[in-house]
Formats: sequence, C-alpha cells, structure tokens
Amino acid sequence: MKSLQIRKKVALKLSAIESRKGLYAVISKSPDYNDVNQEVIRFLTRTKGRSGVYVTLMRPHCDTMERLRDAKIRTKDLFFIDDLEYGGGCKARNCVFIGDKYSLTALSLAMSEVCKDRPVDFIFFDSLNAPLIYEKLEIVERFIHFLVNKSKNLGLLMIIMYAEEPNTKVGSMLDQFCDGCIRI
Amino acid sequence: MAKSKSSGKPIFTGRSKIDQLLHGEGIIYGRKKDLPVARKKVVDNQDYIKLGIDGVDHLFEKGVPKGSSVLLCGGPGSGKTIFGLQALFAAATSGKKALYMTFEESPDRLRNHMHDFGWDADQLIADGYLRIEKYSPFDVMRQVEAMLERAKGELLIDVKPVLFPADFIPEVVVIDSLSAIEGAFITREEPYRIYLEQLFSLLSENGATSLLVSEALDPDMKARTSGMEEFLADGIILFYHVRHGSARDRGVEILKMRGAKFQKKVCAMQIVEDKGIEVYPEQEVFADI
Repeated sequence: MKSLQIRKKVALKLSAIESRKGLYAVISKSPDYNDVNQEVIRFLTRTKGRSGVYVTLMRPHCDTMERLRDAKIRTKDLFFIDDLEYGGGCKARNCVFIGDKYSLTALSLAMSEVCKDRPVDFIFFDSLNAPLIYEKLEIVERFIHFLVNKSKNLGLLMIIMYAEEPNTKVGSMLDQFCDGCIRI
Repeated sequence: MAKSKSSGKPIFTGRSKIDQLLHGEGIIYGRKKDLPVARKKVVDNQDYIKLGIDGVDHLFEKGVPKGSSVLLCGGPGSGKTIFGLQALFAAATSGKKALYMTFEESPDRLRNHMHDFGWDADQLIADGYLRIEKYSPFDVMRQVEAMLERAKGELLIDVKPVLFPADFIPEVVVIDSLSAIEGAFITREEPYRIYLEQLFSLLSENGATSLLVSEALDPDMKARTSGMEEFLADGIILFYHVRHGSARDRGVEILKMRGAKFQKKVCAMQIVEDKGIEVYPEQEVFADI
C-alpha cells in the first residue's frame, strides 16, 4: 500500500475512535508496519494535538526519536518508555528506561507511574510483536486483558500496534479482548 | 515449668515434648491437637500490627495479628531479607522494640544494607529500639542435642533454649534464616523438628510478632520448604522471583495468615533504590507462576 493511501486510511479509521477511552489494536501487514505506525502517531499528535506516552519495545528510544523526526512527526508532546535499554549513554529527559527486556510487569508499572506524573491522552504501544518473541501467548493474553481494564481506569485511549503474522492466534485474541481492532 | 518474670505465666521450654518423644508417646506432626495451647492467643487477640511496607499493608484488612509467627519464604534474591529489615526498621521507627536475629550475615553487613536504602539503623540502635544480633546455627544445634541428652538423663546440667537477649524484650523479631539453622542439623532431621516446634512455641509465648526467613527449594518458588515450617507458622508470605526470557519479575503473595483477612493474589513487587521494597496490590505479575 502506498504511504498516502495508508495516511488516509489511518486518519479515517482513527477519527472514529480517537476521542474514546479503551484499548484498540491497530493491525497491519508486515511490509506496511512502519508506515502505519508513523501515520497513527502523526494523526494523534499533529492532526489532533494530543499528548501521549510512546512505549517502545521494537527499537531503542534514540532510534525511535530519530525515525519520528525524519518523518516530520513532532515529539515534544510525547513521553517515552523504553523497555530495551537502561539509558546509560542517552541523556533523554522525555524517557524512562526500564531495561528489563520485555518484562510486561515492569512495563505496566512504568505506564502507571508515567501517567500519574503528567497529562496523558493516549498510550501508544509499539508493538505487541516484541513480547510475543519472549513470552507465551497465555501471558501476553493476560497482559492484554489487564490493559483493557487499565485503559478504563486511567481514562485514556490505548493503541496497541501489531504486525500480523500468519498462523497465529494473536489476531483472534485481539479481536476478543480489545475494545476494537482496526485493520489497515 | 519455668515462669515468666513479667507475666508470671509458665514458659514452654520444649522439655515436655522431648520427654514425650523419649518415653514413647511420640509427636505426631500435622495434627491439630499437638499445637501448643498458647498459639490460640493469636486468633483470640484482635490487636494487629502494620508491617510498614508500601503496598503490603493494603493487602490486609487490619494487619498482621500481633504475636503471629510469619514465614517469609522465597528463592535466593527474592527480597526476603530486605523485607525483614524494612519491617523491622518500620517497627523500630514507630517506637517498637525490634530484634534481628541473624544466623548468616554479619550485623555490620546488615546495617550497611539498611543504610543503602536510607534507613538510619545506627540511630535506632543508639536509641534502644533496634538490635541486630548474630547467632551461630551450630550453637543452636549443640543446644538442642544437649537438651535431648538432658532429657535422657545423660546430661546433669539444666539446658534452656536461649532465644532473646536477657535485657531486650522485643515486640517484633526477624529470624534470618531457618534454612541456616536447618543446615547445621544436616542429617539430624528429628532434632531439627523438635527445635522448630520449640522455637514457634517460644515465639508465641513471648508475644512478639516474628518474621522467619526461609529459603525456598526452587528459585522460581514452584516448590517451597520441607513443610514443617509452613504448618507451624501462623502466616506465610511467599516471594517470587520468576524468570521469563532474559528477565525476572518479582512478586509477593500472602498464602496464609491465621486470624486475619487478606487479599489472595500474587502482586508485583520491586526493590527500589533508596526506598526498599514496594508492593503494588493492583498490579499482577505477567509471568508463569
């Protein structure tokens, strides 16, 4: 799919849910994943002017920042949670480094803490594919179920990104637990 | 039977159990009738104490019943010792006399450990609220063997189990650890069982709330202790340090607490720099527990 098509499709589908509270999955095909990812964050920050928390599990914070800047997506209204690094060499003020590679417990605690300290309209979770490498599906299922309640308790929109993989039950699990699944 | 100087109540020294054992009556462990009568006090007494650890007290409706013996059970590195030190620090800070009985680490190391978390142990020690005492597990073993010999009539001097320092009556006690004591008994299973029975009885009689550290057999806490400790304790708090992938998650669970209402779930726990243990009652642990 072409980038412009992706941008239009993302804007159309997200417009329907952007003011809601709850957990929504954005599911894309693997080749489109990066574009879909960028367009979702662009829509929320630039088009809608929302501030949020970016949970980065795929790339370290610095890499993610660079990619967003290259795509001309403003990052000043984003706070990051990096589960990949301890942040030794990085002086970022807008990031908390967990460093507990894919500890969903530590991640969930960090999300609560970050939301306590600042106004947050949304949490963007990039992506579900990373913990699925290390965790059993049942554990990830429990985490998703937990996030559904957490999004309601925190009163915000949570978007969980997922690049669809063939022959897995993840898509149906997301259909079952999330408040909505958006397929781009 | 010896009597307590302060209350005038008889102190259970364990001799009667040893006599029973040596004269053929035997102790059948695991049966309610063998529990010392004094242990009922825990259930009858509606006075509770808070452990003073963030999140843990929220798991109880009122707190830990005063005078309870609570087992802190977990694998290596799961946070048992820190939990004990933190509870003791909180107790001493609130004006209770608190005693740490260490059978492994030196008192200096434990004090340094407390300082690392910003807990001023030295001031509390100087003020007389906190004591950290080192005991040898081998002395305990020799003492129990001497008691057994005394009971058989092979030793003429009277041997009494020494527990607390004579000049310090604590309200909260940490014993770290039962596993170190058990290690000293090695293959002598029966004397260790007798010692445990006596220890829990004496703790109960003394009225101090005690936290007894016990090493789990499995670091992931899928198997626990030998079972005797768990049966005798009024309460059990389990510490999990579960591996998943290349990371480990910490969790804590109150398994039992006689005479108290508490939440039955595994909660996330973290050891936070400059703070100590924090438990998150609303956060579940996403690991295979």
